[in-house]
Amino acid sequence: MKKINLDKIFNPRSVAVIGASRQDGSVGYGLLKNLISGSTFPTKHATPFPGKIYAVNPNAQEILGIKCYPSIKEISDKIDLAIIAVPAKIVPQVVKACVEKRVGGLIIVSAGFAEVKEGKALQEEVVNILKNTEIPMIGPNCLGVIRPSAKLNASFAPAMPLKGNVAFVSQSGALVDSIIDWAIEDQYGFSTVISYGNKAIIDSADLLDWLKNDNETRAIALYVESISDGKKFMKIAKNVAKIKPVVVLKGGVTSEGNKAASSHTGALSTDSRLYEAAFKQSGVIQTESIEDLLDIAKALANQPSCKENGIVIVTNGGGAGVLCADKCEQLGIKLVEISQRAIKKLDASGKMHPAYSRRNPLDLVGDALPERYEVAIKTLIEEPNIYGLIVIQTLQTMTNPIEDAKIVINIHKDNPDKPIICVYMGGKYSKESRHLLEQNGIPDYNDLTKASRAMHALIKRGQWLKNTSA
Amino acid sequence: MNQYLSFSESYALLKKYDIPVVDSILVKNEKELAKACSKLKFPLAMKISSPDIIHKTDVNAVILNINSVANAKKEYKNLLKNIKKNYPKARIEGVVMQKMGFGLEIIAGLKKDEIFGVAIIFGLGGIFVEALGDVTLRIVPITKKDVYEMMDELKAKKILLGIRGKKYCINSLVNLLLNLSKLGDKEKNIIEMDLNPIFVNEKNAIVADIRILAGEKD
Repeated sequence: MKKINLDKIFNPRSVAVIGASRQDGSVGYGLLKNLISGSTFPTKHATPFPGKIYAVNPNAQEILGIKCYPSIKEISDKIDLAIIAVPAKIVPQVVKACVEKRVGGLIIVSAGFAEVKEGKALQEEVVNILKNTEIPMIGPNCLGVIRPSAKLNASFAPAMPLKGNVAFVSQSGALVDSIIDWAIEDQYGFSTVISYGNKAIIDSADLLDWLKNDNETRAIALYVESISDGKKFMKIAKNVAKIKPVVVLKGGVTSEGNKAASSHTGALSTDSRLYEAAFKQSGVIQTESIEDLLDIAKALANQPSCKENGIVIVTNGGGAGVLCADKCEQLGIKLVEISQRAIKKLDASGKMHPAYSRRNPLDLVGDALPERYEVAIKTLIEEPNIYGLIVIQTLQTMTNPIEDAKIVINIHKDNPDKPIICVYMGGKYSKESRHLLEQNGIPDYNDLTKASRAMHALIKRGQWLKNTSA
Repeated sequence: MNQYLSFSESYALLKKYDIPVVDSILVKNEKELAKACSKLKFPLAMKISSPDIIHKTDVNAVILNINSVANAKKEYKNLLKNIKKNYPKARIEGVVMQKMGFGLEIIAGLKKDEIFGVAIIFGLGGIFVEALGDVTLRIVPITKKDVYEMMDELKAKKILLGIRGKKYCINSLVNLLLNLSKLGDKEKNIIEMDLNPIFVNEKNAIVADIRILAGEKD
């Protein structure tokens, strides 16, 4: 492989589906349908791919209104991206045709390669064909690629997710399917979704490297089960992490040591310890579950890192404040002492309840109206020893969630360097305010543990950036 | 073929990277034994040196608290007899006479990994290694910052930083680990390596036992 350029895969002007199928329910049909309409399952926001779409199938005249070519070589137009969905055993000959056609990039979704014993040789054959070309290939045995910003659904995922600023890179394809479904329901957006399968040529590090310079992506969430070249991953991940946050979920974390090891060190160097160390040394933040991965990616994509470990909790509910403080302590997040000067300012505002807590967590008392939140948050965010805020709202008769959300949004606009995480707790009546917050880049979690973990990640990121630049 | 390095090879390798080892002398007969006893100061430790005997403590091939030359000679005979009887095929390099170490027992080591390169571990040593597994790991090379971060990860951190009046020379331990990292980065043929125990006390951090599995040099 020479220089890798993935632009043609992620921002193609023309796409060909090789192995397009007439059969509803097949992968070759789903791929074509996703390109034509953006989504197989109906969604409001899915739109057709605006570039040119070609179908290759020697046995069909047309599928879904798209003319079929017997071979990619018969297409006279230039092809940026070719998606291959033919049976594994004929993939090598199709790849050869793509090389002759000089396509810009390849995605092989077909399965039956190195993931099964009999397919190993076949995968090697494909790699050999591409070895001396500059054509990048994602897969085989993958779901494909989705770029909401380019209106490109080059995958057989069920639907096009919303456009957002988190790139999701996954070794597993099936996980992607369900996450997209969930993300649409939760209005969680992605800049790019990539399932990279057997990583025969393009691996997670190459994808990170490309995403590093992708303007649509502000944070990268990675699901990996195995890394083939650890040194390469560490080097690239560290370079990427200096520019944008990388969050990882490692699947298949075994604590089983090497039983054959002839030393204590050998036995203690478990897989999970090795991966953990590699992530840590590269500035990659490790998470514990899919939900955790996406929660933390959301915070890192939308909020600045927390420059120092020192935050304040603002709440209108005592219990919620206590629980959040407990979680922060467990995670090692420091709740700073609120200065006397700030307390005086709050007292002088005339907006505080006589019984407000006057310390961290700052309990504004249940009857807090938006203006009380406003004075408190504005005062605290300007304090030099406070580097981040968790704002909690519990729903009481006089609470105004929408106005409270607008206050946070506006204050954050004036103080973009300090992160704010919200917990507008509740369901039916606070939903709208939560969406408003999120649409404006303020992560909201409806869960104190999640909010604390998100803040913790912002602090870790801040510390890593400081240590790395020092 | 992978094989265990001999006493002198192991000793020389650590020396090369400025990793301090407890004063040790390899002896091959009683005359050398007496000489070693007078050179080192009692109390002494005695260990068999054989590439074929790895778990020395398990086979009673480590004798501690030797206090006199007569005591040393008696134990020397017993040790060799015991080994010959139980391991007739073991290649015997000799017997290592060593000053007794004291302090907190720490383990450090290296492990070659196919994916990431070479890993360095360290943690609470001695019998606690197997019981608690309180170790921390990084990929070499590591920096001073990494070492402090590693210490911070240990459950034994408080012990290491000193409790109940006990103090340990952390600087010496940090230097030892940085040198070990250097060794792991440079010596490409090391497959597995245990430095266990390393004694950390008020004055220094010093290796008392070495086990190195090495492959062919490139």
